[in-house]
Amino acid sequence: MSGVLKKFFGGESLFVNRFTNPTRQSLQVVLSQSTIGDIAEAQVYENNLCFQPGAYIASTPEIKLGVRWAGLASWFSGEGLFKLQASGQGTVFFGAYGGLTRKKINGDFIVDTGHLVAYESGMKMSVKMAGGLLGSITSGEGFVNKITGKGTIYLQSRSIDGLVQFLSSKV
Amino acid sequence: MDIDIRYKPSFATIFLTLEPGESIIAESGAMIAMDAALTMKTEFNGGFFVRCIEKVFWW
Repeated sequence: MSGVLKKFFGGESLFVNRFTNPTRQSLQVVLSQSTIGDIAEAQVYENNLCFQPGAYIASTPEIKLGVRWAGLASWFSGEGLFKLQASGQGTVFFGAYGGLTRKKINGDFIVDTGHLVAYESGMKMSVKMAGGLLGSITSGEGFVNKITGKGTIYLQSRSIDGLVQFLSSKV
Repeated sequence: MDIDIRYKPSFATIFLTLEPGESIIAESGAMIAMDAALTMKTEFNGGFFVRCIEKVFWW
């Protein structure tokens, strides 16, 4: 049940944990993610940052987290029907499967489905076929995600879906 | 707050040093180690259900 909820509602758990230092000395907390891959920190100010399901790890207390409707285009591109949006002012930590690339975009940019980790909320997404009808099948790319706008996006160099496909062909 | 992301890129892990009074919010299950004096409080993920249900039934 919680798995189903997670899948639909932005891939995040219903609960978060707040770690506070009530003492007079500095203390350490170690945080990580379950997949193998890079972790990045991003500053959020007036640019809201949207995350792919499961990417969010931690944030400073000034950050507000909300789940937003992401649209069918997002769902088709493997990013989930809902997205997690971080707003406010502060730092967000998020993780990826594989390496993380930060990229500034001005105009159109095409990302394979499942490789988009985070993007600024002003950007538009639309799903299209990688080539023609036949080309999309034979090229092995299938659907791709076209991002339009001006802002920063984060890409992951591997996708869990890709791993699942690779492994399921072996069993 | 001192931020140190180690073991990049494959096994990246966040080592945070919290100064007195500071706090951090983390996804449930993300914590792998911490100083025992830190307090941990579980909270509802801000307005989560309300917003989702809104979205589902208004759409």
